[in-house]
Amino acid sequence: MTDSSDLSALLDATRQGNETAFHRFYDATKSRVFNTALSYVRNREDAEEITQDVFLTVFRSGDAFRGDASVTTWLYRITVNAALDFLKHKKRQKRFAFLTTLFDTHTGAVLHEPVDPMHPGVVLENQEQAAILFRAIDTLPDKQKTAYILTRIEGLPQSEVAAVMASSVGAVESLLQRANENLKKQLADWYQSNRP
Amino acid sequence: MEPEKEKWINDVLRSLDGLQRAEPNPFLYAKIYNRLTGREVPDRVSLRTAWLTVASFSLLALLNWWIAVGKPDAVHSPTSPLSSMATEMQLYPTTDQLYDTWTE
Repeated sequence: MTDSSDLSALLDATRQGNETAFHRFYDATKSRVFNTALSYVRNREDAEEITQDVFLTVFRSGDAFRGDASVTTWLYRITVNAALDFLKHKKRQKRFAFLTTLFDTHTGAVLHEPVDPMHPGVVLENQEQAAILFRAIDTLPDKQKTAYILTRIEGLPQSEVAAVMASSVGAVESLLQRANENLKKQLADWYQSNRP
Repeated sequence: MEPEKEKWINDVLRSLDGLQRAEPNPFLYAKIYNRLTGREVPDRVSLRTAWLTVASFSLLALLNWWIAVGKPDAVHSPTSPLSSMATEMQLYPTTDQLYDTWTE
């Protein structure tokens, strides 16, 4: 049940408060929401928090879906916005919280996760290089980061990325080109300072 | 660009090839549903609790410091060894002098 029309039907039923439909909608789409969020934050806990927010938004504001894009495009748009908001919120908190070394200021939980978390889907032998690449991706401007993540990591076609970003295919191509240039520059700098 | 450096950069850019899809926690739907129905049970310590804990420990440390450094007279007992011995032997003299050397 991943067909767009099926998802639309499930979303319609969800809008009318059908909990079973909402559960089926969740089962059909949880993987893409969770993995997209994971590409931005790279740790399970944060990705699950974003996933929760996305599905709460879907349930509460299903009426906002007007049908001018596909359900998956709309869902990706909500996910990308939720992930970017989450990152901004986290960055703001890090600036002023002097207890962040002890407690997570968002939840109050004692921090125990590594400073630079690793995406759980990265193949073991690539983890070192993937960590460097993710650090470089973190420095990209939001639009370049989104274009790069949706195309290179999520594997979406550029036309769908353009729809998610409410932009044109040409603009996405341009964003990808700039993202690649910036990444190469970042990696070259890293190579200069860390390699003999 | 040096060929070695270029190769390394391309390797890093390709390091996400074959990235495996991850699955969320199987209980995630239950969490979402609980939040929807307002039955959310926090599974982590709230920020308020964390601050209260920090404040309690700070107060405890301050009180300890105040007792140890700020009120030394109140802590030190003026009991002399002689008085202790007299109490131990159940002697209850009116003064610390056990007997008056100038009488008799």
